[in-house]
Amino acid sequence: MRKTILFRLAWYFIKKELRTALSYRFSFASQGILIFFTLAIFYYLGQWLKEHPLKALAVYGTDYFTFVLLGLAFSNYLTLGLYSLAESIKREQTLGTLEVLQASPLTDRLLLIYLSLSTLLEETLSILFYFLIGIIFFKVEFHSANWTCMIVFVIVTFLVYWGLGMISAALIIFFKKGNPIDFILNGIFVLLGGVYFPIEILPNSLQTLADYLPLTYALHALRMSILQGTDLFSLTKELLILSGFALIFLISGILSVNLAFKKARVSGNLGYL
Amino acid sequence: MIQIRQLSKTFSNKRSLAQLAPSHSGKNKMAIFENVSLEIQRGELFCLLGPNGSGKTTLLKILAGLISPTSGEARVEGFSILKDRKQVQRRIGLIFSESGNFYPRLSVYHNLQFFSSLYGLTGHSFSEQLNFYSIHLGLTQSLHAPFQMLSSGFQQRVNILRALLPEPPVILCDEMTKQLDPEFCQNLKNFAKKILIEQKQKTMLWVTHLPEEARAVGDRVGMLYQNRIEILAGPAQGSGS
Repeated sequence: MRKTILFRLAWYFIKKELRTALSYRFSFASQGILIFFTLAIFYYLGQWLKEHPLKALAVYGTDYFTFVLLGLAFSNYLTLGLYSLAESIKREQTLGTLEVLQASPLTDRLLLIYLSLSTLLEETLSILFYFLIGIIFFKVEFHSANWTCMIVFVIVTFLVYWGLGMISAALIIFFKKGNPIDFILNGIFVLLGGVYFPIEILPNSLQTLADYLPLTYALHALRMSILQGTDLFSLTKELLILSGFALIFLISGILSVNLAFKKARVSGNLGYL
Repeated sequence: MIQIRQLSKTFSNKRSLAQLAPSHSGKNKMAIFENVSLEIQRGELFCLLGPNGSGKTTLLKILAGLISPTSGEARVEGFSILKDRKQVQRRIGLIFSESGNFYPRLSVYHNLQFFSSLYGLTGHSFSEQLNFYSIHLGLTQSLHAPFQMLSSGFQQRVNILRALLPEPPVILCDEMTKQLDPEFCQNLKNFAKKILIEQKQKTMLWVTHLPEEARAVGDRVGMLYQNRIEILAGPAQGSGS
């Protein structure tokens, strides 16, 4: 397929989702309100913690609120990679449109990419909300941020999660019901990955476990690049580890989705819940 | 043109029993049909009859690339459903028996615009096609209504319109008249015969369980029964079958 057609198709998928999202205006607005209240809670928690500053935050040279704001914004964004594809497939199955999409000339791989696009866009808006609300209402400043480095880490980490998301989507296609991957992994990632608190305060055994999680490296690198302006060279270790995770999960994801679609075609239950 | 050669489909017993025909074979396998062969020429409307659960929908879904056959082969416009699935799908318009498979909160127009884009039909060509077919299907007044606001009959018309818009040479219809009122049903049959078959030379496989509908519309009529397709005569001769 020609590149222009591929981009045009991507735009049609995004437009379709945007139109649906805008038809639920209250839900759209309530998302922004929810982010505001979540941040407000952590802002006042941060104010209270100012009297008991955490030593583990010294490496980032920041306060608790900024630490958690970045943790929340990015973990929500990355978690999306885990959920979005499976959620999109489940939604298309529920509407009965998955079979229609599968009967079209679109390849399975392109279909998966397009189904993820709209939620990716939605969550990119959500991350901007986090930053804007943090800057406007809670006076957070990012003077020394290295945005290029940050973007590289967002992309690599998103690929890690997208690979996991494909495995999750394959389980949805296969088992038709919710699968343990998103539920368990997301719980573990958020608890041990350093979203709400530095992993240094965890017991040693859990810290060792945290060393095996991609989110640990992702959040550390993202915080360092935004708060300390650290460059890519200084974060080579994190970049290599995340790239390794991305490679493994993307290959496993593509293989498992191909297998799931193949099995569903044999059993004839592609469009059924 | 559709060529089906020795096509068989067997489902595992683990599959939901509600969707299956009575078992014809071993304990763990259920044969839906076996060694089915059929050839439908360009410009021909072939009606396939059969009782509930005889495998009519499964056959259509195999041709449309949604279900893999257990054995055998089929070709659509010369392309193999096994080796060139995407080429086949580019040439098929599938009219589903269920009409709800749209995005309910989007307008009919936006739904059709989205689904047509999957076939590369966009812009001016899309508008021209939409204009032509929506007049014939009586949908011009409903294009900007949210899909969910339409009656089931009108939703089914949109379902038919979606399949026709990309102008595929082969059209597969799965009990498409079951939600339509008798008057529109008659119009649709005339439209299929005069415009789609005579004028546009489409190949149509029209699945129904209504013998009178099959006799009225089909150039030939076949019956999928006890695992096989038995070809009945053309409409005039077949009326007594």
